[in-house]
Amino acid sequence: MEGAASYQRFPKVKIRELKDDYAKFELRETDASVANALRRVMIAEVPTIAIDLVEIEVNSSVLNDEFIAHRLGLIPLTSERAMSMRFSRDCDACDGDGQCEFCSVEFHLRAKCINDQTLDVTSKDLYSSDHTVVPVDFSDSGSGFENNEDQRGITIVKLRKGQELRLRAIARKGIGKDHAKWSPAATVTFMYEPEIHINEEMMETLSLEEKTSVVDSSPTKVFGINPHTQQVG
Amino acid sequence: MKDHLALCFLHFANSVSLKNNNSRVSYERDTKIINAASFTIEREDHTIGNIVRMQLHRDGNVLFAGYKLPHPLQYKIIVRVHTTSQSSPMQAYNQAINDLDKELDHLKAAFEAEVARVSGEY
Repeated sequence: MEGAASYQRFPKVKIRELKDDYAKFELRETDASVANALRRVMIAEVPTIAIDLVEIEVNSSVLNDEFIAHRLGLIPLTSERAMSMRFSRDCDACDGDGQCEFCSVEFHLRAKCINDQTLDVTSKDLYSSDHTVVPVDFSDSGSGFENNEDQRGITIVKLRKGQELRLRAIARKGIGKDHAKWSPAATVTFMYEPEIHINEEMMETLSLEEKTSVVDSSPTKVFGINPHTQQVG
Repeated sequence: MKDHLALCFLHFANSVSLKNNNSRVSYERDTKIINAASFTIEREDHTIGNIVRMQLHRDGNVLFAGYKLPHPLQYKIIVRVHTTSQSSPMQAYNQAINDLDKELDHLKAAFEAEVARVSGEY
């Protein structure tokens, strides 16, 4: 069957920027279908961990149970463990009800407001059964987030005097295709980048004034003019 | 009175587990045209469909390659392939999949090497 010519390609990758929560790279010697598949996979098929099952013991807050369960689901959790975890639907150790260590992580939350000041219940109040799976702490990532002292975690609900929230939550592995809460990416985009070649011979025939007008024709200042050689580049 | 006990299921398991259905790809030959066939791939979408189609287009023996998502609620795609008599749909399809597999292995290795290089610089 083999022996026919291979149509395999060897894509080239060059990283332009790499931060904790941001990456930008060049992809060469392949086509848009591969770049788009990569984009789609990053958004919808990379597994992460998110709260999926919530058992509420006491809720006397102003938000209803479902609302709080939904908010808990949207809290980002550190998901390095996701790859070694099982999907609860494929788990043999339990019936997929999220009771075993191979497919679930348990969280507990207990909060009661006892004084006149409003109590903010945040992601910091969630206690995890697994120290590797915890709510993501944005305070040290530095970029974009205001790092005030009162900014602690992600607000789940606010409690007035006498109100109480007590619950047990189970986080599971999932993918963005099932629910966007499992999507690891905020945005993923790709675009073609133009490659500009200047016809040097023709450029030499232009006067300085004409060269300046070529440089100024670009609204984003793509070209520049060398003050010594008067070459456009 | 268990007044404040509520079970909230956030996840509706609408992704029906096809765990016991062992084969994900089925092959169906065209009855009228020789060297034409359709591959039905279960639980895949545009992500796979489009790269397979583009890879098949690179093969000179492939006269036609296209894919469709029959219905947005049906989680499957159909890839249709016509080839010349020098090849066959099955051969072209297998070659496309193998080449893509190798390409993506290469991409993964290249990306990991690049990450190691960039993070080593700091």
